This record gives sequence, C-alpha cells and structure tokens, in this order.
Amino acid sequence: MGKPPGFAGGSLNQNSSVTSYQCANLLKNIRKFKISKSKERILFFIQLLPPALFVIILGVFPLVLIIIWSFWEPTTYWIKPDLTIAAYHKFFTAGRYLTFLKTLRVSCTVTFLALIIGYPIAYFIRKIVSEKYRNILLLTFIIPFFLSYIIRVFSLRLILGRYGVINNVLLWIGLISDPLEGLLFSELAVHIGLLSSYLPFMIFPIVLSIERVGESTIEASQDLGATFFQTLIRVIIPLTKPGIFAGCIFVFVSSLGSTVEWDLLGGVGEFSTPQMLESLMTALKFPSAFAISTLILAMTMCVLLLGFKYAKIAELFETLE
Amino acid sequence: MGSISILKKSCLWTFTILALLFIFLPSTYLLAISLEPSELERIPRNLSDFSLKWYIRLFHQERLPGAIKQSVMVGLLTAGITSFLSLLSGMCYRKLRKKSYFLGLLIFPMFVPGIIAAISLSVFFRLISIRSSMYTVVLGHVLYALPYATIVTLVSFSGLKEGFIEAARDLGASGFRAFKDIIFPLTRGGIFGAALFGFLLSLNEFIRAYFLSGWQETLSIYMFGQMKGGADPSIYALAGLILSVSIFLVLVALVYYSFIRYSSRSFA
Repeated sequence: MGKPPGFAGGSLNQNSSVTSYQCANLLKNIRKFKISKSKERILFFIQLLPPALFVIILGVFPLVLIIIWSFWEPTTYWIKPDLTIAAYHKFFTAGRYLTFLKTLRVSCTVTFLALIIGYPIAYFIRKIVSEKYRNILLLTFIIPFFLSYIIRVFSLRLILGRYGVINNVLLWIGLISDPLEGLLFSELAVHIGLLSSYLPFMIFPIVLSIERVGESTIEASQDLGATFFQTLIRVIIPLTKPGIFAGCIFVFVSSLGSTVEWDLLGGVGEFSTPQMLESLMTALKFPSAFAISTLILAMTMCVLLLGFKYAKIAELFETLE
Repeated sequence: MGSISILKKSCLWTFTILALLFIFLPSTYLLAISLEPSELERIPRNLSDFSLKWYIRLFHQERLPGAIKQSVMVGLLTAGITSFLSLLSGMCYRKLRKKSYFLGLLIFPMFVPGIIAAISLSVFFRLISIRSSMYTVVLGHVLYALPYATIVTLVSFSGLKEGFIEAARDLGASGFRAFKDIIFPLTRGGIFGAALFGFLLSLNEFIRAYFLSGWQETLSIYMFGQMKGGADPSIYALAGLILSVSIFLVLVALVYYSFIRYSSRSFA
C-alpha cells in the first residue's frame, strides 16, 4: 500500500494549470486512501486483538488472580477476601518448604545435566555435521515434542525396572548376581525421566543461538592462534549465552512443574511440589496451593527477567523480525 | 570447522546417537513389548510370536471409546483455534511497531509451569462460573500450544515479502483476494504446522486436562490412571497405539512439507 493511485500519474508535474476536474479527482482519491487506511487499521486490530486478548485473559490474568488469592483467608469450601500471610506462614512451618527445596534441587541438577549433554550436541548439529545430516538430526530431536510425555516416562519403567533392560543386561554380562532394586522408584529414576523428557528443550534454543555465531568470528579467533577450547570458552560460549539461558529456563521451569515423572518413577517416599499442589487442590486448601504457586511463579519470573536483562534472550527471536 | 579431527567428530557422533537412544529407545522397546502375546514384559522371542492380541483386547475396555472420542474432539478444536489465532498473529506481526512485546506476550505461557497454568485456569473458570467441560480443556490446550504454533507460523511468515502483497494490491486484488492467492499459499506450511502442533500437543497433554476436564476423561487421563493402577499388558498396546498414531501424523506432515518444498522449487 504505497501512495494513493491519484498521485501515480504524475499529472501535476506536466500541467502547470490544474483543472478543477483533476482537483476533484485528486481529492476523491485522497479520501479513498484515507478510508482504506482506516479500514486497514481496523483490520489490523481485528488481527491483533484475538491472540493478544486470549493470552492476556487466559494466560496472564488467572496468574494475577492466584497471586492475589494467596493472601485471602480459607473458608470451608472456598476463600474469602482478606490480607493474610497465613498460607505462607504454613508453608514454612509445616515442612512444605523441605519438599520445595528438594524439587528445586532436582530441577537444578536436571537443568545442569541437560546443559552438559545438550550443548555439545547442539554445537555438533549446527557447526560440525554436514547439512544433509543436520536436518535429519534436528528432525529427530523435534519428534519427542510430538510424542506423549506420559508414555515416554512410563516406558522408562521397562528399562529401569526389576526385570527391565538394564538389569537384564547387567545380569547377562555377569556384573551383578541379583537384579538392582534401587533403579526404579527412586530419585535417580526421577532424574532420568526428567532428563529424557526435557533434553530436546535444551538443544533447540542453543542451536538457534549457535546459528547466530558467524563462521568468520570462529575463524578469526583461530587465526589469532586460539586453540579449539580457547575459542569455545572465550568466543562461542559467551556469544551463545542467550541460547544457554533460554534452554536452561525451559528445562528448569518444565521440571519444576512436572508431576508425571514423580508419579510414575518416584518411590513411595518421593514427593514433589507439583504433587503437593495437586493434593492441596484436591483437599480444597486453596490459599496454601495458591501461595506455593505464587512462590514458584515468582521464582520463574525472576529467572525469566534475569534472562531477558542479562542474557538477551530476545535476540534469539530476531530472525523472526 | 576444518580443525576438528576425525576422532573428535566420531566421538561427537557417538555422543549424539547415545542421546537419541536415551530419548527413543524406551518408547521403541515399549512398542516391541506391546506385541508380545504372553503377560511377560519382554520382546517376542520369534518372529511368529508377534501378535496384536493386546491391541484387540483394547476393544473390550468400556471407558476407552469415550476417552478417545473426547481426546480427538478436543484435539481437533484445539488445532483449529490454535492455527486460526496464530494465523492472525502472523498477519498482524508484519505491521507491528513493537514486535518484541507482542512476541513476548504470545510465548509467555511457555514459561509458566504446566501445573500452575492448570490450577490458575481452573480457579479462573470457577470465578466466572464456567463449568468444567470439553471446552475448558480446549481453552487450556490452546493456551499451551499457542506459543509453539505462533513460532512455527511466524517462521513461515518471515519468508513472505511485503512486496508480494503490495504487488497484488496494486494490481487491484482485494484484501481477501490477496490473502487467498498470495498469503495463504506461501504460509500454508506454517499454518498446517500450527494445526499439527495443536492437535498432537493436545492429544498428549495430561496435567491441564486433569484439572480442567469435566466428568468425561481424555485419553491421557485414562491412560495415566491405568499406568498408576498397574493394569494388564493392554496398557502397552494403548500406549503403542497412541505412539503409532502420533508418529504416523508426523510422517504425513513430513511428506507434506517435502511436497511443499518441491512444488515451490519448481515454481521458482
């Protein structure tokens, strides 16, 4: 939509005397242009508002709601307006924070492991492998997004269980004489489950950010005499900070909020914050559930803000602009 | 990187393949086990032992057809709404001045832990007294799938040059005509991808469905119940069935995408 059609002919330049017909025509065209401009604005808002309002009303407002409601007072079946920190007080006195700390620890470990495993793979996919294999590898790492995570976690039982693959292999080799018991239904199993669920979430942001590191930057560093590891640590890793941060946030937030891995792979004694939330909601202890949610949310938002401020996560999406 | 030696390269290949095995081996093993006719958790010993016995048993499960129907309905609705919303955001994204704010808002739900999104939505629906039903699950699932769908759509829209649309409009095409003949054909890959994300993410989602659904359970909820309850090996068949359907859909999408790429190449 460049200029109005009336301007296009160049008739104003050719004739110094403008006829009233031309004038009227020009005015008409300008009016038309204005109308189509305002029509375009309306269309623009028709396109903009539905997705934006959808996320604001269903994705943001309910979160604000539970933050506010976490300060309300419980009644028998619901809550009533108040300003009390009773729910938070209970969180620290009733030992719920211990569960919270444990979930936090597990999430941190899983995030760290995913980074250690995911970074070399992302680097390999983006910089080392030939283009033909690159697309195949990227595709294979996308497929898990489309598969049921419940099934993927459940199938780990068959690997880790008493009669599972690992025990069978170890028995067959002769390393052990009795099946190992502690593999399944343990914190180890939860770690493995979370890692296998969320590893692809680590790889993709890092691939995106490595893509943005130019080949010439790496070559320059090598021409100046840096070894491979010096280049990696001094050049590539600092430049891929947005991807590292984004991947870590994804993995951390996802494992902080996942119930399935704990439910299906954790032992009887293993209890996580998401499971606690679930049982609090079932027991209609709303303010307590909201308070814990608020704490998790606050932490998530802090990490997210840090990521946007210091690691420039937004740069990752610049290719879209 | 010419400086990478063959040794390092093969090490990285091994590492990557091990990671892929770590991700895919358990599900593959489950698929193999689902074909074993006895009640043992093992891969069928002979080729002749492979049987669909447990898959046929699925027909006898009373609550299963309802759950499947519910999941398919929720999935289709989610796919439709998600691709529509992400199409709209793709259309207006070109004209936005503060692009990063809009994008940030749309991918924000990705950063909210699933259980908190589920709890907050369920109490929100309670506040505006909407009863839990299929539609509340759909809304929750659209919110879950929208960030992924938006990214896929925006990637496809980034290939659409503003000049194409201007050219169409200058040649006298109406806004709708420009959409039908220019925008849609060039971005259909992204729109289709958004729908696929919507359907498959919805089909496989558990925690939101658990908090938001009414009396009729979805397939994931049903399956989770069976898994926790220690059911007979037909649970492997059910899981195998869902895995196969998901993989089949992904393969269809791949064929479709290579077709789009082929046809656009011949066009160029």
